Amino acid sequence: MDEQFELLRRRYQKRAGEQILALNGALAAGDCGGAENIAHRLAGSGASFGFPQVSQFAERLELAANTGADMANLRRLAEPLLAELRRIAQGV
Amino acid sequence: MTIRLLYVDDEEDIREVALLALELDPNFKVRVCSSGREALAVAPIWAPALILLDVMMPLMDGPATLVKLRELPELASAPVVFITARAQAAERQRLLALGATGVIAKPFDPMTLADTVRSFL
Repeated sequence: MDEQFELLRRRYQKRAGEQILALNGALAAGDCGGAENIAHRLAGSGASFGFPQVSQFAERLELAANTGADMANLRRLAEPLLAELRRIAQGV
Repeated sequence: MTIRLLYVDDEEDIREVALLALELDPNFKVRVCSSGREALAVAPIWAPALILLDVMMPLMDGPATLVKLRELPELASAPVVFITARAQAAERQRLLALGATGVIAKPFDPMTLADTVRSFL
């Protein structure tokens, strides 16, 4: 289990860069629904792979997007999530 | 004693970690599906003792899949546990009212998922 889990964890780390691009793309396009979907996936997965802050930050972003926050607020809430994803991506 | 489970989730990463986590229980034999539609095709053949169903999936979400599963005579009473990142009390109640046996919050702990699932059997 430990070895297999570590492999999955590393792959998740490698994909962090893709998540950054996707989230930045949605935010730049003003795509609130897209940002919410990305945040939802990250909220539901991060902690399972050993990255609890990804889940915490993403949950806040998802909730804000779901309750009609404006894009400026979503971009502000996305900052810590993007920073955490960058940290994870650099740790590969 | 082998206990067959069906895990349905559109996210590949989560399917893989769930498979790994569930098979920590040596009695669990797990089949995974990536959509509600695939689950409807597989479930009657696999005949799972319990179905784990992600709530938010494209095209056919978890609740819609549950309705369709209940229309299949073989699965009319199979326990279904929803997996959701929105597990607040009101949402949990809504899902249980649809006929689910339980609700597991995402993100789940891979080290305890098998024990949690076993508690629903």
